[in-house]
Amino acid sequence: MLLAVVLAALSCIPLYLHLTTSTAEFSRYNTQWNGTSLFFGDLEERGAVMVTDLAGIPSYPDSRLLLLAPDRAFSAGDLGAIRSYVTGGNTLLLADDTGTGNQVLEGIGARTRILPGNLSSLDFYLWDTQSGRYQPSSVIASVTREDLLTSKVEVILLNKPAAVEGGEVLAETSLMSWMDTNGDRRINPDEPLGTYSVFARERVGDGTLYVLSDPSIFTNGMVQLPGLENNTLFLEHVKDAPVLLVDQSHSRTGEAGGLIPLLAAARSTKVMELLMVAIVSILIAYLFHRRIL
Amino acid sequence: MTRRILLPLMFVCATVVGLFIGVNFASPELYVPQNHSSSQYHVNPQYSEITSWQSSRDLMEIMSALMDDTGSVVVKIREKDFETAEREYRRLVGQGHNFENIVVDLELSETEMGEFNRYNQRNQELIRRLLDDSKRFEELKSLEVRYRDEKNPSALYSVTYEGEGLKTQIQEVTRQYDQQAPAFTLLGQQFSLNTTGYLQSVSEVESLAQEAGATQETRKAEADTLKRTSPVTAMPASVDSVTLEVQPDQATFGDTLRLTAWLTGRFPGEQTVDVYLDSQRWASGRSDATGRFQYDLLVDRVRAERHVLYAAHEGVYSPLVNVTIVPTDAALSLEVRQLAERNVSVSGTLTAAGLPVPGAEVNIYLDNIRVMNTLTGGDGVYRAFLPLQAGMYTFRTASSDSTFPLRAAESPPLTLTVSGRAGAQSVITTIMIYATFLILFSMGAVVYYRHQRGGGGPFEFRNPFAFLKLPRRKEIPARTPPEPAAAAPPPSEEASPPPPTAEEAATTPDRSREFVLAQYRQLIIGGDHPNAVQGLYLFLRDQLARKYRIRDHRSFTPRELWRLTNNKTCFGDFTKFIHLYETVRYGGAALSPEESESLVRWFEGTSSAVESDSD
Repeated sequence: MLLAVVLAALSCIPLYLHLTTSTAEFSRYNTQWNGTSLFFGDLEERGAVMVTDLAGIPSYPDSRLLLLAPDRAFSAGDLGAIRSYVTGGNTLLLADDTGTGNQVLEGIGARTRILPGNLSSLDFYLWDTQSGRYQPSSVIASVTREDLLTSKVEVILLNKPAAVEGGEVLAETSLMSWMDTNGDRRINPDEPLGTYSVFARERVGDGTLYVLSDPSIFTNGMVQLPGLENNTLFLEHVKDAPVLLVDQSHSRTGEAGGLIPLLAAARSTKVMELLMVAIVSILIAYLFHRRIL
Repeated sequence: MTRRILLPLMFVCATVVGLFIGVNFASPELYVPQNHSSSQYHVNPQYSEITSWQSSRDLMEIMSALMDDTGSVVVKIREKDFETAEREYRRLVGQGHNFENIVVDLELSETEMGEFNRYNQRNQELIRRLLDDSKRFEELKSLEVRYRDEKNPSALYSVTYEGEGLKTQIQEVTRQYDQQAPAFTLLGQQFSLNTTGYLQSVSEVESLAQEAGATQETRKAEADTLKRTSPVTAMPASVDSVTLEVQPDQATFGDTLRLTAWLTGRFPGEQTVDVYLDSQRWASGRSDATGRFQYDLLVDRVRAERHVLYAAHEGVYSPLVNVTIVPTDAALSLEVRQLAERNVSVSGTLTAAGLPVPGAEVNIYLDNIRVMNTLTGGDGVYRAFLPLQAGMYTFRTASSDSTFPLRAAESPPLTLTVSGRAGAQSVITTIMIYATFLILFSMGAVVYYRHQRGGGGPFEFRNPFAFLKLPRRKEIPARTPPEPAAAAPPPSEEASPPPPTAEEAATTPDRSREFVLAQYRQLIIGGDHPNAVQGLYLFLRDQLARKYRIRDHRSFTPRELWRLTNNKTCFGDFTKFIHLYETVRYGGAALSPEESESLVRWFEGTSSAVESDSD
């Protein structure tokens, strides 16, 4: 009988893991290479505030809002809140490679724009072992201007980035870069070489806007990649703020599935956490009482 | 209670887990790095090899060096410092190879970098020619001084003629160098390269050509002067003059140039005549008795440009003749086919004017990437073999060998799907494995079924592992020799002889009832009642099975067999027999003499009834 109980318990483990993790791109609950669980784990340790309603952000003065990989439309109210937040003297860092973030940029009156596309470069850092070819979308961008976020950072290693237009260029690709429009990982005659901005800064009101054309640098795969001291330093600068807000209402990083919202809610309050512990304890006590265990 | 809770609980758990597995069952995808090598937003860095390669920096450095070094080599040539020029040229070639390697590795052949590479290769080729011609032209200067001092107009003329050929070559190189300079400069400027050194080299090359022209004019004038002022004895005795005629004066690949030279003098017949093209001896032969020399030359490996020809015999030179070789179109065919083990053969023929072009370089492109170059054979056929992974490829070949008077030729592209034979093999192997498993499983099921049912029928069970069984320690007791008719016992499920004599006797159909009864009595006397009664039972079982065609009778219990005789004439005696048999066999009871006789009576009654039954 004991064996039966153990088997039943063991069968629940993969079920639990399945329900409490996510495979969604950029999800903070995704522990795989394309998730951001490591980055968010660090943010939580630092006491970052996860924002689920943008209306409340103007109430955090001298703070920094991270808007990573947005994937849904912003309401007028949301845009108004972000505009008030930035023009009020705060900092917004937008990392996006799809162009969804352009709605925010337009909404807050910034001139900087994200140019979606498959930016590629001959300055790369990954070599595809299967095809034996280089990965031109693993772009090495050089820091061109000293800033709070680029201090002592020489290069930023990007992963399938887009380009940024406008603003003050803080990092850009080399001359031998191109928009790989047909995705063949080669330079074609209709894909001219040129330098592309990938990280830019713009003053908006009393605040500062940073636009990074690649949210992939926050993923686990990139964070765990050895030898990326520059990226590590850059991410440290990004996280280093007196008050750090991280949007979860419009970002892919907030995507969850299965029991994640329930478990997250359960763990979010002490009362719920204690209640869960009590239920599990009672169950175990019952099993002992019935001499099942 | 516990069981009532736990079993449904386990069932629910298993169902839920099964449902989650079932969701993915329709499209199973096991985790392999390839499945997760990239997504719409990023590539998996853990699946790729990290290589910090800032190619643009390397490429820019090399491109810059190539432009600068080209200029310095030309400057050294102009300064007549040929040793340094040679050294600088070797360095230039080395840089060129590095650049080409990067271009090939990064698949940039069809990009601006590829174009830069092609211009650079052409530049290096022209500089090589310029270096060689200039060096020889400079050597002629010292010869010129020597022959002038020796007052040898004949030798001085040879120098003059060779110098003329070299001058023409230098001017031709200059023309070609100038011709591609604007495009190459523009390309360099696109990459923000400093083109000053290269532009300087262009003007240096022009100056070099002008210098060569001026030197040659002076040389010719001095040779003429020396000829006029020198004594007649200095002239060769046998031949006074040589003239050369070349028809036509313009030709293309495959044409024939007819070279006709006339020797005049005291003994012009059967003399050796050499014909020079651009100062290089191109043809040689002997004149006929009248001093006429004729030679037909096929135009094949000659550059498409203006050339200088002259004929010579022992220091007597003909006037210079100009011939222009013009480029013509070439045709390049392509055939691609897959050989065994993913090896692909790429072949074709390079022809021009209906003739094969031998020894020409052909580049092979795979998906627009140059992967290999090869040479055509004597019949104009080129052939190469490429090991390729399974997949679809587009092949193309091109030839632009500038040592032939041919325009660049390109084959039409061909697409080939390389099949993964290894993959097919693995599918076949997989099918065979599954088929073998299925067959073994079926065989096992049949064997098990037969074994369970006790054998019989066409697939009577034989223990396939019987040979592994160790012989029993207990030897078979001696018994009465079998009758001749019973010499061949039927197959038994046991490889070793069964221990009880009664059983063997009973299970042998040909044994007589008397024999079985004799065995029975012997065992009864010996006190082995269970085996004694079993012998009788087994005899009856087999007799019943034969008579009433009962299949798998060995798997029946005595009761089951008894039920089958329900409507038979033997039923009465057999009922009593079975009852007593079970008492002794399974109940362990010993037979009294009366019971023993009764059993024999019922046995005989049953056996006789079966025998006499007409059913």
